[in-house]
Amino acid sequence: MHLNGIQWYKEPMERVAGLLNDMVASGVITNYAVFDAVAQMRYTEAVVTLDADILVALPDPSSLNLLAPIYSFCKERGYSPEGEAIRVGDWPVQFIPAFDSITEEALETAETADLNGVPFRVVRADYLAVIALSVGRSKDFARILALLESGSIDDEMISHLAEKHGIHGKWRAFKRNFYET
Amino acid sequence: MANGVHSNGIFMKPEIRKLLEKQAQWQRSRAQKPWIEKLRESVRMRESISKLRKKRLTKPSREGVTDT
Repeated sequence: MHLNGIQWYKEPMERVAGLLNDMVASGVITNYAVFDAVAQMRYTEAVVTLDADILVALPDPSSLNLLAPIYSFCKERGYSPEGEAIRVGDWPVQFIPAFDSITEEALETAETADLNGVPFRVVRADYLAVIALSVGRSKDFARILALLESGSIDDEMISHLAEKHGIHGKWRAFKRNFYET
Repeated sequence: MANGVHSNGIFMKPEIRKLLEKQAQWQRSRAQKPWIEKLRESVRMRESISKLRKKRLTKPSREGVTDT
């Protein structure tokens, strides 16, 4: 929504999306996609999370201080750091540069969702699951189970990506522990 | 499925099974809400947990405690 020529956001997450879209338009980042719990909630029921995690691609990945341009962009717009995040309304936002082949591909294949008219890039459900599988904490396993239960992904989709990215052993172990009887 | 016997072989009264199926359906329906609504719910849950934690960390008070 525009008021007196200024973009006005009703929801805090719309403001996050607007900030990220502005970052891409200004060349501070080349791409972004929300992942982890915030993205999971697109498919499952609401879960508790402390922050919004954003995968980012940077124009100069060799820079020593990778996140400095993001932080100064946010500061110019009145968003201050809070620990390792930037506070945008109700949401501490963490920026995570794509760190391996899975997260790079998750970023490239992300979908553009419509958040009350604001475009918001979001990691697909199959990549959410395979990122969770690669990280492998108990909350990540719970995320895979929730996504499977939601019907947004199936065994074959995870199996395909796990094979492609060399973590099929982890998928077999997951199935043995949680999935198969 | 025989009357009163669940698919996994466990005996279950039909009315209990019906109740559980209804509850499971209601739980699944929560996932069908719009994403933005679920994000709002998540913030509300986070705030409630934070309040409960703060309350637990403060000195126990007799206020509101009823002895029986």
